[in-house]
Amino acid sequence: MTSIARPTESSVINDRLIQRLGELGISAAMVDASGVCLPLGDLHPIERMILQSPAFRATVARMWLQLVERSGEAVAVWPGVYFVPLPSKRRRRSSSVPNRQVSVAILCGEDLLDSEHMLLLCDQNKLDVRAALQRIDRTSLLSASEIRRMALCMGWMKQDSVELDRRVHELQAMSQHLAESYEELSLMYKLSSNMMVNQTPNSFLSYACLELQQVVGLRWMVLQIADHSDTLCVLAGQSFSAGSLPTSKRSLKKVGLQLIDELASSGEPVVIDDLTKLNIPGLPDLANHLLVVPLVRDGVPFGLIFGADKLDDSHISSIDSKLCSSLASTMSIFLQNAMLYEDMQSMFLGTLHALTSSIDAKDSYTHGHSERVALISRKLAQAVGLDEATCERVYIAGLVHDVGKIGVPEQVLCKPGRLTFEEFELIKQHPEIGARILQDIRQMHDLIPGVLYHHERWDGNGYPHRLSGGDIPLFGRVIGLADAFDAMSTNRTYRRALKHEDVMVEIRRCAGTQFDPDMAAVFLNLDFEPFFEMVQTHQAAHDHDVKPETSE
Amino acid sequence: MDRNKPIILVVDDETHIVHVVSLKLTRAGYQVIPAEDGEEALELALEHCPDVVITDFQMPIMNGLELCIEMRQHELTANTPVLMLTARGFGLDDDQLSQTNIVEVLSKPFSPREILSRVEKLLNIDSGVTVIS
Repeated sequence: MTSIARPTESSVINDRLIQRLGELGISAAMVDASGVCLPLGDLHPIERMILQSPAFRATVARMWLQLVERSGEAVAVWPGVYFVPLPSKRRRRSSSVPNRQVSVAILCGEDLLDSEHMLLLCDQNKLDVRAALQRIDRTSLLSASEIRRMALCMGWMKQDSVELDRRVHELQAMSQHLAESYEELSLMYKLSSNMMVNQTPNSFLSYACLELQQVVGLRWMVLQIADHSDTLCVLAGQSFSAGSLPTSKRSLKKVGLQLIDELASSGEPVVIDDLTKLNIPGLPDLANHLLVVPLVRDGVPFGLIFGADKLDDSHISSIDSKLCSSLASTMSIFLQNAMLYEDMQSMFLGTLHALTSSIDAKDSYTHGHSERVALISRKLAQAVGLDEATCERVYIAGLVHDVGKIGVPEQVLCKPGRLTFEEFELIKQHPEIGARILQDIRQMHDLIPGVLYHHERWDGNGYPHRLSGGDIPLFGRVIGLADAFDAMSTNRTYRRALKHEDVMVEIRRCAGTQFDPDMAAVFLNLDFEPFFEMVQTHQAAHDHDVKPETSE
Repeated sequence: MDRNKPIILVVDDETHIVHVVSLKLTRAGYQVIPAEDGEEALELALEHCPDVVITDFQMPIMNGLELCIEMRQHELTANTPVLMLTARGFGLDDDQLSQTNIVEVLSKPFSPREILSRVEKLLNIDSGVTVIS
């Protein structure tokens, strides 16, 4: 297998070179500046004698600088004894201090046998020169030209090895950068696809905080929104956290708010290595290093992200802080949009409430009716298992279901007692009037079935279109049931409110004739507590409105 | 191959992807066998019996799906779990998946960190199974 991306040191190159030389029958040694030569692997007997010779060592020490500088070239230490310096441990480019050790290949040539050094060696080892010369395997000795060629090859091997080593390192560094970029890209992708979903700011921020803590690899991370932030009133003072927290969320929030006061105004991300400088009590116990990234909107800081210590104990890098700060700007944009959306939404709902209560106000007995129908409709929609977005639409449809009453004369709407046929015909027009009103508002088209069909009956005897059973749109069935429930449960011009038990009996009785039987079954099990609370609130508000008139 | 360390076969014709995934895995202590296409990967899989295979879908000669179907046919690799990397928006249908041991399809750009955590999860969950087989 071709091994890739394995950590490669210069020592690995050396080991590889020395192993290859060994296979060629060439010995190697580690030499230091004092001339001491330690064999790397096996030596020939004659080489052992040479390396142990004090005279040889003295020569090596004298030639030390040559050995360091002429890496990859054959250096004749003695006649017939050559050292070819091999690449050694990585040297710093700017370093002027020479290496203290260098590994060398040892090449012995025929010249040695005829030299005075041979005599010296034999003398030192108490050997007879003639016997020694006979015992030496001359085939292992090289000629001068062989040594030159061998040295040249070793030089190439060395250059190639160094080059290979450099490439492997480069490749690793590039893969590392690429891995980081992939991580960032994937994070950004995930976050932006999460932003597309109609998320609440809370769930988005919790999610972003968790993802960021994991991608940057910090022990813990907190996202703190300033408590004075008026533009983000919904989120003011909130904090989100991820990772293994060193203390309670409450304490971290306190730290977060203090950090906002101290650091957020700069608007720039910062890595703090000495936490005692910040003068925030308790902070130095929570972390060694802290990454702080302000959240800024329109140049005004509204919070910050702070996180502590890398999980792998490495230093928090500029890449980490850059990633956090680009994420911080993404968050700011998201929050800005979320706030705009919320503003718009609350204005929309506020307008609807104003509109519907003005309709309800035409008849003092229907005060708050639309709001209660909306409330019960949403509860019913949730109970039958509709998704959250649809339930919200059901709520709004409930709010506007009687908008058509705006086109029905007040004296008919408020008439106590029985209506004439003609008057009832007028009342029966309100679903269609309502549908026509909404027709012009594109964003409310989906609500029309709830408005138009909330007086249809399961048995087909309702109005305006006498639809029956499953032909009645879902919104119409839900709101129709909620509407009937509210009508029975509250006082009307034509009768008093029924008791709750009686209302439930009536709904059960009419399941399958007036109401969708499955839906009625679900309806009977709803929690009506919030409804009755709302009835009381509306009653109190109504009494308050009515009293001044009666006292006059 | 050192059988004490889990072996992961990483297959992609885009070598930079192989490098990125390998770097993450080798640093976490796994042995990585790289391959550039399905055919090479199948040979290596049968030779080394990797613990997990991570493969790209679109490759020359033999694509990732063909590789997985082939692996399923051989006793040695029939139960090897596979993580598949695909271009975003590209999905495999249930019928295709049922012919393979693909446990998860991850779309590019993937997070190397997530791949590592998936591999760790797979090896923990499957350790019992590997011992039996």
